[in-house]
Amino acid sequence: MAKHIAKRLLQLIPVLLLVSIFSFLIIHFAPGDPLNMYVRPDMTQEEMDTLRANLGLDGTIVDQYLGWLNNVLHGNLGNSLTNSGQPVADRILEVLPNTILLMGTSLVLSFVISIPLGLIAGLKKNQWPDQVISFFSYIGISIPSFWFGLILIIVFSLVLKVLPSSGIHTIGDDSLLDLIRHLIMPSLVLSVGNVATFTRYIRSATISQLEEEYVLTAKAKGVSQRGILFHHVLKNCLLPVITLAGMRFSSLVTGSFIVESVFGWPGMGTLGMSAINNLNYPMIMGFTMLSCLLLIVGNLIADLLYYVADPRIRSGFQEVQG
Amino acid sequence: MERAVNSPIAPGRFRRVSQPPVQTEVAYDRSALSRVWAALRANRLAMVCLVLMIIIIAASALAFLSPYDPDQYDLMNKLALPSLAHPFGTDDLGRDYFTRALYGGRVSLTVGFFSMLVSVALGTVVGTVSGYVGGAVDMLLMRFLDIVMSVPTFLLIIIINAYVKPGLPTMIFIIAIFSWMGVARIVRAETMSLKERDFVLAAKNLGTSHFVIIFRHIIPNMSSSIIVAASLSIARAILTESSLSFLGFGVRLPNASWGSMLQNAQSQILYNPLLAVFPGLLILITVLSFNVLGDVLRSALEPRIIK
Repeated sequence: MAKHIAKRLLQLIPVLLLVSIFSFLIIHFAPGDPLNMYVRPDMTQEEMDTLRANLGLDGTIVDQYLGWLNNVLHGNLGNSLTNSGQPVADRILEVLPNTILLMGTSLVLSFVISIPLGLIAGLKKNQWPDQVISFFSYIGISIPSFWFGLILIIVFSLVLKVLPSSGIHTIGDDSLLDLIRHLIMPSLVLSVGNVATFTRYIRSATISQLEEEYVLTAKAKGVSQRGILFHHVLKNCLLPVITLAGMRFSSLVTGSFIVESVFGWPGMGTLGMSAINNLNYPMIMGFTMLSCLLLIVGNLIADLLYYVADPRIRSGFQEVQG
Repeated sequence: MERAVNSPIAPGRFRRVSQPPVQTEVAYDRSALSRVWAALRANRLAMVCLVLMIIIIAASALAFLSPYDPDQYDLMNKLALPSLAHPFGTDDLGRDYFTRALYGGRVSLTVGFFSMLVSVALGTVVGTVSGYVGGAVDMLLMRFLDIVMSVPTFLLIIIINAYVKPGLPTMIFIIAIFSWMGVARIVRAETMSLKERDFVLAAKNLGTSHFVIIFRHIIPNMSSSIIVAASLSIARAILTESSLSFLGFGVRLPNASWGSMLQNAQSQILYNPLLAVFPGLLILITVLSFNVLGDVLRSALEPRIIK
């Protein structure tokens, strides 16, 4: 197992290298000069050259990339080109908890909603509850998340005036309740795709589990339907869903980008958007790397959970690794 | 691994094709079509989706019949509520929103359709080569695929779009090069199972070239999987395009798509929230239709799914 983890962590290196080279190239071939953020009309050419050198913007693109890489390997993601040169790492760490809070809430919400829906749909296969749930899961995978966000804002903020439309806190109000009120709509929007995917998955897993012989045995022994569902079927359904959650991790990273910009949530997505608009390349590189890292580590955690949860996989790992 | 991929495929589907290898393909296609039709008629939601999809595609194609110019300002008449003259109302510059939605649909559907074509073509090439050649080539391509899949692709699409400031064709290509992986996986698995079938082995023994085997024997036999993947891929491409345009990194002026209309609608949300409703509803219905029809095709064409 340790071997597997080590292998996965080693795979990180080429991925991060390739993505960093790729993003670096795109940013550097972009029209516009990040130096423009700093240039004042009264600057001499000399001052501008010094500034360029200080920002690490002189030299060929290879030099610049190697310089960046060298800094990163020494734990320095560089300084933001805006915000009076605050270190990128600090800025990211400042907003990262907000994004993780949003993602975590959304993941929990997805499970809380999809597990009962999936079980009901599987149990009532092809009856009306199943059809209704399946219709809504189609909607869930098809709805553009940003539009769902807009609709929620219209309904709950503009018409009913019960939920705040943007931000993470009302100014001057740091209570938990206020945070939760701000969290409801963004996390719901971020969950909608996952709820639909998980529900469909749990439904089909429930259907196939209910056909298993152990269910028949349990029934014969007089276990109630509730007992069968929650003690046997649910356990076996959750395994694949854990992996699925890992695979859907990218949708959380991507989704938070969109959701944050709809709701003005001060997280990685908002930071990323402003960095892209300002050609703030150390910041772009920083959050691109971090998003990759989040994604791969998310997958790895899902793998590990799966491994911990299913003894069959544990033996399977050894066979495959052989 | 290979065995695991092989086993769930019902043997009947390929046996029918494999006995006299070439002539029965047509018969197979006809029965597939009739199976699809039967599945459509059995599924009310799918039928509704098909009709809605046809209406949206036809309306977008016939958008030029509208009496309004989608770019004609009418500042006296701005932010009008829906009426007979303006079924969706007018936007903040007084442009007829219905006409704009139809033209926006053209852009969204075009991007969706062509991204699908490119990504399915890419995925099919990578998948067949990987599955057919096997060995080191397969390993390399699959490692590459793993890398692309473990990357936040939407983020890269945003960065490229933000800086390249592409026109429609470039944007289609950018969306496609980050969405071929799913198709490649399916095609690879199918190729690996098909290349061991009797009719392919027979063709090989007759000295048929690899090229002909791939194009004449392997790809036609997995056309149903490809069609299903294509339908789902259009849905995903339309969603990607609309998200991009909504964030302001997609379709640029003077073009408008449903996504960029929503971006504009967001800024007008206090004045006329209805502007935010219509384009999104159109995206939802279109994407929903492609998803539902993709699933119907899948269950009709791949008997192993039906339980």
